[in-house]
Amino acid sequence: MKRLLIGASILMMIPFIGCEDKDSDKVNSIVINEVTTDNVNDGPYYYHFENGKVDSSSWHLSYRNLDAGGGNYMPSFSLNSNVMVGIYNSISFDQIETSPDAGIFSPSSGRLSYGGANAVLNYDMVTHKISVSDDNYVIYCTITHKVYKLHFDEYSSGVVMFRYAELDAK
Amino acid sequence: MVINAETGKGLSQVNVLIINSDVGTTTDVNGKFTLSGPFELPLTLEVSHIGYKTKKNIIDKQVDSEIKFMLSREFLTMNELVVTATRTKKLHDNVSIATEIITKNDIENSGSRNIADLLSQRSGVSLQTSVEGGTVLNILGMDSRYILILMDGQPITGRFNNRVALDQILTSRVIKVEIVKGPNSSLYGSEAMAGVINIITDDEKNSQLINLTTRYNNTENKILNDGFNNGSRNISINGVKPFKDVRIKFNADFDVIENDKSIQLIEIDKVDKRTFGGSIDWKPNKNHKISFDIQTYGQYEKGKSKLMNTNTDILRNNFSLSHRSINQKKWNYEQSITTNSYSRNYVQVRPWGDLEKDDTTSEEYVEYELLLNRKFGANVLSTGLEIYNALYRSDRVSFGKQKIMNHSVFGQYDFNIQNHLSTIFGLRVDNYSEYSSVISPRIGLMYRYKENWKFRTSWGKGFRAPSFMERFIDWNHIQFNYSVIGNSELEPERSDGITIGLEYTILTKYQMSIMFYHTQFENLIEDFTIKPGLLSYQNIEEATFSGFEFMYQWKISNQWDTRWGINWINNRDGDDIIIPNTIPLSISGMVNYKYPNNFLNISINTKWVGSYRPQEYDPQKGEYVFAQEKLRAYALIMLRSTININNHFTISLGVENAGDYTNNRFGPFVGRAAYIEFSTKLEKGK
Repeated sequence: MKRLLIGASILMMIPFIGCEDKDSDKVNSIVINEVTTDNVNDGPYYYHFENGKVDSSSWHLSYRNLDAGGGNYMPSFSLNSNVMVGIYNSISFDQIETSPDAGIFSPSSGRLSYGGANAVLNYDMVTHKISVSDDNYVIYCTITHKVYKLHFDEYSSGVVMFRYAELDAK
Repeated sequence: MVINAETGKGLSQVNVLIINSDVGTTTDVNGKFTLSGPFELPLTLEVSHIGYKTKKNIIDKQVDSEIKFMLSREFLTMNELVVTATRTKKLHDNVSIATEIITKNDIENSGSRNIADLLSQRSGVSLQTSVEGGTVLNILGMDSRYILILMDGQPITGRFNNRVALDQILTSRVIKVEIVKGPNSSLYGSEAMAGVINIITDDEKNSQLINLTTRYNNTENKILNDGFNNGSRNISINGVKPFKDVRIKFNADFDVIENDKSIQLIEIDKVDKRTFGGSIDWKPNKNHKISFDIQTYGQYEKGKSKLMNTNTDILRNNFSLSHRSINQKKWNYEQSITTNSYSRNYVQVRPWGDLEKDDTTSEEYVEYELLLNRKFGANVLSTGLEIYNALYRSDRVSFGKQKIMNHSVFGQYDFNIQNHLSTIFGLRVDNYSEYSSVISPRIGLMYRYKENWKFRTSWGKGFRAPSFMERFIDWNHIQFNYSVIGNSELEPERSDGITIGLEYTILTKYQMSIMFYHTQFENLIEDFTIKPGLLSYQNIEEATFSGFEFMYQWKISNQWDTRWGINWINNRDGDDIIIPNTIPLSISGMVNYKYPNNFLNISINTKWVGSYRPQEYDPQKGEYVFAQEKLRAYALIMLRSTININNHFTISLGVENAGDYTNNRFGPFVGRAAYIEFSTKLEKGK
């Protein structure tokens, strides 16, 4: 009887083991790139998703100090005009595997910048600290028609760490 | 024999006196005493002990057998000696300046580990964690900069953001906390603009004692996610060993907080707090006492993220040597030399090795103090002087180093007319090396009506000398590019305040008090914008801090007692705009249940904070702006039960923030948490 129970338990585990492997495969099919920017106080920073490198002549994402008024400046991100952006928060960043419906995208004009509707970096006037948004950004390049998911993880004294990955088109 | 009515055990060190005679003795470790006659009968025997209700017994015939006295604890602290309001020891009942005592029992029942936690459970007190480190405490709506915080009567050196970090003062060796409300600069000088908090660690008891407490604390979230790893742990040990003329005390505390939300806000993963200390009291004869005390405190903070590793090392050393004359017929005096040092080193290093910041702040403080007092019947004349030299070094101040020297003299006359009227007159002159002299007077009056009613009022002036940072800071907020520069022309802030209070007391049953206070500030120091992106400090014309507080304590039965406080605050600047961080209404309450024979003690502490609209500092505008939404009213509940296994061993279980209320912007930042505490105490009376 004891052996029968053990055997039944092992059999019951098989579908779970199988499912787990399948999920891992899916995650592994997407290559997540982790990028650490230069210090924004040393100068503007430009990044190209497709090339995966810093490039001030051809870029998707820029990071620089923005005049916040009153003599203050604020580190701020913005997207090139040749990309569109959508916010995709209904699932976690890791769970985003395919490009969402095209309806999610709209022109990026200033939305990621400080003070914008989906600002990446915010200044907290209670704590006097800059923090990153928890939003998942989905980027559509209108030239290459490639789609990327993008998430900002941390800001610390002028340096930002973000992750991005190219998504399969739907 | 004298017996503790609650425990049924003998009570040591009880005074036993035959009234109208010089004959008396004290009880031994078992509560026993012997008086050998012959005596003339009838006689009245009086037994008294601090904290217990005095008993008298008339003996009118020869007694050969044992006489038993049962002493019950007094519910209230009116017969306790307090020192803060007058700088001389005086019965709480007779002090003409309103003084509140947080007793050792209150501290234990609160479950608080440090002074910041303890105070924040009270109405009228709010606590905010500063992202730059330390705790910003508001008492009666006033920033803790305006409340002088003392440890055994001495100022605490080492401030961050101009404030003493009260979370660095652990409660394990605190005997009581005395809170005196209203301007008290006539006795203490700078900072005592709105009140004084004195944290007292020595009860001068001469019994042999060793006390070991361990505690584990963790939040519900962390337990659910990580199990019992990463909780906060604490071990504290303290003891007293009396010899013939010498008493030795020692204490050690180890406190580790890991991955807690309260510290993660300031990007710290682990805080290690260590305290070591000891003191030697020597009485070469019955008229003199010499004390040497040393305390060292270290706090080590570590934070690690993918982009930055931070280390903060705080070191605080305190030494004091004092000589006190006692039992003198004419003048009693006490003189002390205190040296305090403080340093804080903050290092930021990128994980790839780049050093971003290595910032050190240090402070050295040396003080000589002489206190003299003489009794004239029931009246006491006190006078004294203080000389101190403070040196401040910081990478954030102009020229990296600043110093200040101060001489002060003060005098006070405590005048009592029979038992009904007490008045106090005091004056202090502070002479600073950097700016003009400041004169601070105070008058207090207490009128007692039919033993149960007391009317108290006081008027006084207070001041706060501008801090080193306010005068000399030279710092750029690298993230937002605004700079802050000090203003060396700042004048001391001045206050002019009155308190009016009424108190009704039945010593064994209840106490009810109401107090109104009104303090007018001049030259209040405030941030302002010189030009866009450049901030500094300036003296503003005036501000008014006023409010009232109602306190109620009731011993319902031998098992049940309860305490409540209601606090209403109305703090406004000269333009009638509410001062930032003013929380208008708050209520605190505590209910205690003691199982007979003290086997079990259950405490429920609660604090309700009324709705208010917070203000946030906008560096672009250079001013405080009201938050868009009002913060809703909320309540915090703390539970604690203590099981006394026997006279030496107790186990306590507690739940903090039982309602799990959090607010990520304004606090409280930590949700529901629980702790378990084991305590061992061995005490041998003399």
